[in-house]
Amino acid sequence: MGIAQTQKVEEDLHVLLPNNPFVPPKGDVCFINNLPPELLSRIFEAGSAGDNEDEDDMVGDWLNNLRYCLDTRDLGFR
Amino acid sequence: MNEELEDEDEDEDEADTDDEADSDATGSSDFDSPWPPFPIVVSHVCRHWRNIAFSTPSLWTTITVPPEERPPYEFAMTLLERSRGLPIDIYIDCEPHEHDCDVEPPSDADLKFLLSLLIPHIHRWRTMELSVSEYHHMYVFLSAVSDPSTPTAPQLETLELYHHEEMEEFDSFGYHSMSKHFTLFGGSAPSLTRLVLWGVHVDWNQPWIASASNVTDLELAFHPEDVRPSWAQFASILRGASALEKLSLRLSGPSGDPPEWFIEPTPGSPADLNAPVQLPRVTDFILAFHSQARAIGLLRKFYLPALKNLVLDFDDGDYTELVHELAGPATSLSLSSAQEQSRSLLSKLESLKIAGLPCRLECVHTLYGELQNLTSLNLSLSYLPPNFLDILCTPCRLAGRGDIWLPRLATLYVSGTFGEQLRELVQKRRDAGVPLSSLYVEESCEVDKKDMVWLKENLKTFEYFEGSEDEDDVIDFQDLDEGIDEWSDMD
Repeated sequence: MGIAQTQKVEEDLHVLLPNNPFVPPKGDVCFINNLPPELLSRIFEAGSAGDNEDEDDMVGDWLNNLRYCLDTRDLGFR
Repeated sequence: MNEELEDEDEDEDEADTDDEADSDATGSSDFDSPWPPFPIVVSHVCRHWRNIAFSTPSLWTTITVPPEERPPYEFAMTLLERSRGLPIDIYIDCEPHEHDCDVEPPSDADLKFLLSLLIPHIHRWRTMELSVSEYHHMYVFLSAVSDPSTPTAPQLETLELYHHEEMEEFDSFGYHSMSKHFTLFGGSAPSLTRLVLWGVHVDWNQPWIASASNVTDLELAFHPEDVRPSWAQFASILRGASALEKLSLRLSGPSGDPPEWFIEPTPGSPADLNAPVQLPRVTDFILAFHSQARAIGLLRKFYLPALKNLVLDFDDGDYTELVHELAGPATSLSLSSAQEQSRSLLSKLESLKIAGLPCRLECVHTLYGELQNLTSLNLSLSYLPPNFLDILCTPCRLAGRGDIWLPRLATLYVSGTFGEQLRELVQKRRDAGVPLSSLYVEESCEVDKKDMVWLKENLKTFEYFEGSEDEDDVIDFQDLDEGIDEWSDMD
């Protein structure tokens, strides 16, 4: 039942949001794999560079927002 | 994508290596980076991506060896191969984390094995960072890279060697059988820009440190007296580091006391070897854990015309004279203008961190009175009397200094205080027409919900930061014998 519902939701999402980047495109081949290997290689390099970025700021921001939300009982997205 | 998803039997060997890399056994201790690393993730998506990842050597240039890793160090070997000829960044951690009680550090034989894999690639080393808690590990490393057969390190930009061990006494190096001053990399690492020697000593005369013309960042820390460079060696290191921008001396520097910091003039040489050491590009200076006499001695020996950011951290003793030294005319050259000769080091600062500074009450006035250009202040109030913060709410009564302390102060970092105090500070600075814009509070500070909401609403930035581990070791100022009356009440 749950699976059927998930499929239904995905189908609906395709109709409502045909370019939704969070839903895999229909068809057999992912368009990313049509990119030239050199470009995919550069994309990988950029992603790898993200591994080395200082995450303290990200964690700090998250911590600060979380504390603020909890303390003010504002649990909505900020 | 489906047609790209194939089993990886043909790549079994490589997959096994990656799987090993994926396991907690090799990576869980590295909290600083995401795990699994991005290259591992993308190389497990499909064959197409895997092939492209393997043919992109730059994805594989970071070699991290955690303390639980053991021979044969397959992952390191795989990275050495996949990175092909590119410069590599190596991080070796021989210190098991405190919470990993089951993890033993590697043996000397393990480390030797690892180094036997890495040293043939020494010409590719761009970063070498080694952290140990037991000096014999460092000795293994120093011995290995000092062997006459070891090639030079032409691409080495960052060398960071850390020996983290609680030591009670710094008069002499405790491991006499390992006290040798090594010459590393055949003496040649000409690309070095960042050098950190934390409890680790080397031959202070070798070219990569004595003539480190590309070094911008030099950190010497926790060197016992008998393994430090002499004043002549130390002065040569600094004079040779013409690009130096950041200098950190934590319980390290030249051996001996300031009266001994004298170099016999060379007959016939016009150079005045006892003139102030010129550090024209140094903007950042950390001075920590020296005796007052040595701290003053260093300040008198350094010409620091570009200094913007200063960190002071002292624990035992009375540093009143140091404060007066900082507030008095800074060391200058004979050719300096009269105006420059009269300016203090403090008057040029843009940021100041005071992590510890035992001194008399009036020192706060002396210190803050000179900080006319300061925009950022960092106070560790766990180690300072409260008046270092309280005074910022009070009018300045020093002649010629205006009516407010630190008139340009915009950013404050603080630990060891309370929300109510901070709120009062923000309110009073705003009322005085010199509002703070950013306040960063160490996360253990007691700031209740009401104060936090108020601070968020009344500052451009209000955030928490993670303090150092020793922030919890709070000094009880009531226990201090001297100066208690002076520190007890600012009003």
